[in-house]
Amino acid sequence: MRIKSVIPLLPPVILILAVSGIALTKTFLGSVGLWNDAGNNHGSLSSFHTISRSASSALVLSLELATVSTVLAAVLGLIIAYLVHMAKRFSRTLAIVTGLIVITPHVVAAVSFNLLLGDAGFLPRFFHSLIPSWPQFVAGPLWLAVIFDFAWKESAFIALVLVASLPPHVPEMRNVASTLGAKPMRVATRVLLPSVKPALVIASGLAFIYSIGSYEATWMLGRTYPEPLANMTFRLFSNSDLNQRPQAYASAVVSIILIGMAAVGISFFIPKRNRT
Amino acid sequence: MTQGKMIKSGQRLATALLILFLAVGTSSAIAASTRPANSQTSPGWAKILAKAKGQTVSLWMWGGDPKANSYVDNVLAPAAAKFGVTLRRVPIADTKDALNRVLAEHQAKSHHGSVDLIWVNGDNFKTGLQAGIWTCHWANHLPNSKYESPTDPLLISDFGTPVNGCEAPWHKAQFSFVYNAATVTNPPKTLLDLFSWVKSHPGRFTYPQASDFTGAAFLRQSLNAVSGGYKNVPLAYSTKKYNELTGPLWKMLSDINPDLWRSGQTFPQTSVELDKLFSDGQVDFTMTYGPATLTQLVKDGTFPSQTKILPLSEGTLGNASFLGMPNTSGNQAGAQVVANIALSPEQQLAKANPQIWGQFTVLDMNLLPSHFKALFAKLPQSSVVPSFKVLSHNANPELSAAWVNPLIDGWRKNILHAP
Repeated sequence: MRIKSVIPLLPPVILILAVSGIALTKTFLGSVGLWNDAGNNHGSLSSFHTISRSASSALVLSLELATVSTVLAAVLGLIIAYLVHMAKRFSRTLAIVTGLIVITPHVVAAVSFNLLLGDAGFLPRFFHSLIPSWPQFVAGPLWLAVIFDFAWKESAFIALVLVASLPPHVPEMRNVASTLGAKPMRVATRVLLPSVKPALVIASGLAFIYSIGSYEATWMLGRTYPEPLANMTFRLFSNSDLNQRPQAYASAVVSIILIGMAAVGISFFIPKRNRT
Repeated sequence: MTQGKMIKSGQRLATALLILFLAVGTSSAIAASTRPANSQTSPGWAKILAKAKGQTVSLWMWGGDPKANSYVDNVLAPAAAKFGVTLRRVPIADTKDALNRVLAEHQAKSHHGSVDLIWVNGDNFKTGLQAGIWTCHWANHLPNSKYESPTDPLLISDFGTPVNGCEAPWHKAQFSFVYNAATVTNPPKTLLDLFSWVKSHPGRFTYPQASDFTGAAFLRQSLNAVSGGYKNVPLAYSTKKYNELTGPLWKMLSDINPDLWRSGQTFPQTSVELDKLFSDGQVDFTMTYGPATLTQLVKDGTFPSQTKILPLSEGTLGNASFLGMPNTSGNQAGAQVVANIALSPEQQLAKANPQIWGQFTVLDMNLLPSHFKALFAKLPQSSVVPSFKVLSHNANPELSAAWVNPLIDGWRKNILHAP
């Protein structure tokens, strides 16, 4: 029965595994010089040595950005999910808006944040008389526009996952708690939060992984230096000298290892009944 | 209809009328050189023409210039259609995207790749050579290559790399500094003057980070300036010369760094970002290797109305861009036909018109029939961009592509990572 239900999923799963497998294999081989785009293959770990210094600072920045934006996204996502759950009148509208945010392409989101928060963007023009010296959200030292962009996009994703994963008995439990005198905040922290905890951790983990691997927002809204790991990989890959490609692959391998570790961490939160 | 739509419609109408004018005004000449059966009837070329019929050629090119897109779609593609070739423009964000696609297809040993022609030059051309992806010794056999000067240095080598018929010339370009005359009332006359201006006007100048094509060109232009002129910088790269010449360059750029936009703590990632800063009035200068776009940018109000090109007494870098044909292309006959049409006098004439695109021709006026020479002389002048003769005065030759990466790495080490 269980095998039968899995069979329809096999074609896309095989395709995904094949594409990912080939890409990962090429990346690993490229990083150790066994698949050089310039054609001169020779095994070596020198690419890792070359990037070690810059990769470590890039890794720290990536972790910082991903952590801060994921925490912010998780909090926002939880609030949105709570509102969708509680607000009877606007829950459908809120869910549709959240869905629209999810399907907004990341590049479009990054451009929008630039137009909104950039030095000559909409908000600094609107508040010019109030705030003549507009803070450096875009390309600023705190990477605020990047964090806001990630948090905005990922909070919608987290919210939708939470709403979809709410167990069916939650409304009943909520009613019972309210009847017993629990205030909305207490209902949220004692009923809703424990019910969605596994989904919250998994969705946040996915948002964290995405933030590590994404370069569009950090490229468009961030600073030239220091650079996150994904930007560093993209820059090295874009170098016109093909002999520098192994360094790009090595940088990608560092990202893959980091993402792999995060994925393993997330897997511990998958409820046992859902593990295959 | 909104005002914007009316203006757009008006522009389209003007472009259509212009194309019609060119088509009618030069009909006899065009008939002589674009008709399939003309002087271009060598047996080899006739075979290529026959084979090209029915082929669809995918031209991968940077899609960020509306005029370039319009020229290819509305002028070049219809001309190719007359030869039975369908020209399909594939817009890309970066030429490297096309190279990476070809590279993947090359590694997969594909002979029916998705890329038939690439708008390319400089380090990207060299990258393609490094990977062995170009088909060579074809561009110099195109019938219309007879109008190119065989001694034109911009056409026989591409950033110091011999072309060897691996790419067909498309147009010439001149690196240009652009300023807003409304705010820069006493414009600098040399690049060193510009650096002094930067120091006296903090926050009003910046340049794209060095990995960007324009940012890298700015570094090479600056290297020429601090070295006392391009004649003091050898075109061929050597570590010895690099070490000798770049010290003053890094010192100069470090000196102006605190006075750049955002105090030099960050840089525009691309020339497009720099253009946005310029159009928003955040800086007073921008720079480009494609001044042809300026006329339209001023006309549509993107750039300030007082936008001017800064003439530097020491001259600026000049190069040519080309159409490269990957050896993975399955439509090589069609690609050669398109490249030949693109090189024809009438296409070069249309493309040189500022109202169509405004790109400088690669053809030698002395080799053209007299009526084409007259038509080129009659081309309307842009109110923003001077003629190529003026712009290329004292032009600096491009350094070899081998200089590009060491300069980028040096900039990252000495300027970007500097404490």
